[in-house]
Amino acid sequence: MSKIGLIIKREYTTRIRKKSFIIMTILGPLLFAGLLFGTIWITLNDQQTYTVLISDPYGLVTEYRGEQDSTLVPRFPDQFKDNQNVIYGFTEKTQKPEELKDGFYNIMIELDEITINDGKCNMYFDNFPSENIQGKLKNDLQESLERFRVVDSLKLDYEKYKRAKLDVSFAEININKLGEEDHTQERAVIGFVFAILIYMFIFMYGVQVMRGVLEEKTNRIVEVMVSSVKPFQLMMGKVVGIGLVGLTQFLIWVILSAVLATFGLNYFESHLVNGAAVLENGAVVGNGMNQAAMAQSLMNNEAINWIFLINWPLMVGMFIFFFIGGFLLYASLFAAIGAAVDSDSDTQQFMLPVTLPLVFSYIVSAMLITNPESPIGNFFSIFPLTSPITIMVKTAIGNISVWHLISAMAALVVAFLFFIWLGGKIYRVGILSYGKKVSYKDLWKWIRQSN
Amino acid sequence: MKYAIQAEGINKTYGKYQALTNVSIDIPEGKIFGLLGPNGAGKTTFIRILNQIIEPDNGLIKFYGNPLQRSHVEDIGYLPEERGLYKKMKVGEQCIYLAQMKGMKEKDALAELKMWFEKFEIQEWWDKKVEDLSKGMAQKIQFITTVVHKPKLLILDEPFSGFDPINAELIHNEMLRLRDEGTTIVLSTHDMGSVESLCDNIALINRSQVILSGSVAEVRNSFRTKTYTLKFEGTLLEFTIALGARFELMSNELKNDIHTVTVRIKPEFKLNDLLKQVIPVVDILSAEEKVPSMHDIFVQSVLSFNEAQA
Repeated sequence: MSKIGLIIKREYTTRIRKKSFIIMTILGPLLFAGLLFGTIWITLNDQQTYTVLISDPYGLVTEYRGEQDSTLVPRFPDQFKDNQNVIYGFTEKTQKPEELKDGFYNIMIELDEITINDGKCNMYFDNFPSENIQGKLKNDLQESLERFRVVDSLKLDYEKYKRAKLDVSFAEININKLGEEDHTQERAVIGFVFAILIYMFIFMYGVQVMRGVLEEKTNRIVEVMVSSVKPFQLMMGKVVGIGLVGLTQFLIWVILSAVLATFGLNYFESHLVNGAAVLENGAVVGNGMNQAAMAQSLMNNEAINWIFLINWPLMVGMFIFFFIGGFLLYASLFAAIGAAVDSDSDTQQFMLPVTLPLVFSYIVSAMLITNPESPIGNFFSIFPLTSPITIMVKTAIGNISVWHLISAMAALVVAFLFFIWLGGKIYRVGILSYGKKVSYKDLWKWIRQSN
Repeated sequence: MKYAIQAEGINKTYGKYQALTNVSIDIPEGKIFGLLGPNGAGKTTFIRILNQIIEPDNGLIKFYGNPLQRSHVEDIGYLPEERGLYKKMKVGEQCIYLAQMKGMKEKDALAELKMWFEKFEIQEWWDKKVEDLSKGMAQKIQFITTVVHKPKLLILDEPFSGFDPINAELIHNEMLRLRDEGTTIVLSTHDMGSVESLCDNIALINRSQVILSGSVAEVRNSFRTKTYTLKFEGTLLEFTIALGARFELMSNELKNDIHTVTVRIKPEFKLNDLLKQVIPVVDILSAEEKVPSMHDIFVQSVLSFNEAQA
C-alpha cells in the first residue's frame, strides 16, 4: 500500500473504531426519527378528552327537540359531532365560569347576542386545548353559525350557498415549464434538507480535520511523520481519511433512516386511519398547518406527486459532487488552521473567516425557500465558498440553467485546488512552528516562503 | 574515506533570518558523528534538510555518493528532539505503522519489532495504549521505531534526554553496536560527556556557520596547550625556583602533603625538559598532559567566535 494509502487507512480505522463514532452513527438516525415520529405521535394521540359545553341562550346553534321538546340539540343534526377527543353538551343558560371547575365540563363556549354578528365568543377553559382541538371547535361553530345566518337571516338555501362558496388557491406554473405545476416552495424545502446535510458534514468533519492536525502537532509526532512522507501527503491523507469516515457515517444514516422510515410509516399508516377519523367532520382543521393534516397529505399520493418534479438523478449527482468538493475545500482550510496554532483555544481567530461563508450560505439557502428567484441566491450558488450548500436548494427548485451548474462546478474545482494548495503551504510551515502566536501576517509569509 | 553525507555550501534562510550560512559538513560512513552547537545555531535546520523535511536554498547534499533524493528517506532513521507518538494508538500498531511509513512490509516489520521488544524486555507493552506509558517507556518505543527499518543513517537529536541512567546506558550501548554493524550515526547533543565517549567526528555549528570540524582526536589535539598536571612531594618554593622562565605555573593545590600543580610549557620545550628541571628538587608522583575536554573546546570556540563577530 502506498504511504498516503496507509495514512488514509490509519485515519479511517482509528476513527471508525471510536466509541463516539459508533454511538453517533447509531443514535443519529434514531434521534432524528424519534423527533419526527414523536411529534406526529404526540399530535395524533392527544389523549385528553375535552367535554365542551356550548352555552347558547339565544338559540343560535341549538334548539329543543324530542318528546315535548325536552332535549336541547344542535339545530342541524350533522353538526357538533362528538369524537374521541371532544364531547359536546348544550345549555341555554348562562353559567358562571367558576362552576366549570367542579362540573362535568372542562370547556365552556359562550355565545351571546353579538356572536352572530361578529363571530366572537368567549371560551372558558381549565387546560388550554391544543391547536387541533381548537380547530375542530371553531370549525363546528363557524359552520353552524354560518348556516344560521344564511338560512335565518338571509333566507337563502344553504345547499345553494355551499355550492356558491369558494376557496381560492394557486396552482403554481412556471411559464418556462407550461403544463406542469411547480411546487417551488415544497421543492426548496427538500433542497434545504440536502443543504443542511452538507453544511453539517463540512462543519463536523472539517473541525475533526483541524483537531487531528493540531493533535499531531502538539503530540510532536508530526516531525517523525514528515521525515517519512511529504507534509502535503500527510495533510491529504488526513483530509481524505476523515472525509471517508464522514461518508461512511452518512451512508449508514441513510440506510438506517430508510429502514426506520419504512417501519415508521407502516406503523403510522394504520394509525392515520384513526387520525383521519378525527378530521372527518371538517376537511380542514385549523389552518391546515398541524402535523396530522400534513401527515395525511403526505400519505395522499396526489399531494406528494410534486416530489417527482425534482430531477433526482441530477440532485443526487450534485449532492455527491458538492459534498466532496465542499469538504475538500473547507477541510484544507481547517487543516491549515490546525497547523498554524499551538492549542485549541488559539483556533478562534482563524475560525471566523472560514465559518462566516458557511453560515451565510446557510442563511441564504433558508431565504431561498420563500424567495426562490432571489439574485443573491444566484451569486451564492456559484461562489465556491458558498455554492456547496446553496446550490442544493437551487437544484431542487429547478430554476437553474445547465450553464449555471457547470460554472458552479468548475468554480468549485478551481477553488478547491487553490485552497488545497494554499492550505498545504500554511500546513507545511505551521506544523513545525511552535511557541509563537501566529498572525495573519505570518500566514502570508508562510504562503510566500519557498520550501 | 567513504562518506555517508557530503554537504556542500548549504544556505537556508527563513525570510530575513539566516539559518545556515555556507555550511559544508562531511559525515564519514560507519562512524558516530557529533553535531554540536548552542541553541538556535542551526543544527535542527541542518537535520531537517538531511531528512528532506525542508529544502536548502542552495548547496548540494550527497547521500552515500549520490545526490540526496526522496527515496533516501527510507534509509534514514530520525529521532527528533521534540518527539511524540499517537497517544490513542496501541504500541504495537503504532510501531508497525511507523515502520510501514519507512517502507517496511507489515510482515517484516512485525518480525523485526518482535526481536526489539524481546531485547528491551517490553513484550507486554505491545497491546497497551501509548497514553498509558511513562515518558521513559515512550522514549524506548520511539528509539525502536527509529531503528526498526535498519537505516544506513541514524539521526538522533538529544537521544538521552528523559532517560534514567540505566536506560541511557542501554541506548548508549545500542548506538555503539549499531555503529559496529556499519550504521552511520549523527548525534546532536549538548551532553559533551556523551560526545567524548561516543563520537568519532564532530562539527560545531554556531550562528549558522560551521566553526569547527574534524575527528575528535584532531580537534582535541588542536586545542592542546602544552599544559601538564604534576603531583609531587616536597616544597613548592624549590619547585617554583626550578621552573625558571621556561615553564609557567598555572595553579597549585596542597592536600595531604601532596602538591598538585598545573604547568604550561613554552612551545619549544617538552615534558622531559620540565621533568629534568624538577626531579632533582622534589619527588614526582605523577605527570600527565592536561587535554582540553570537549566541553572546554565548545565553550572556548563559541565564545571566541562570538567575540570576534561583535
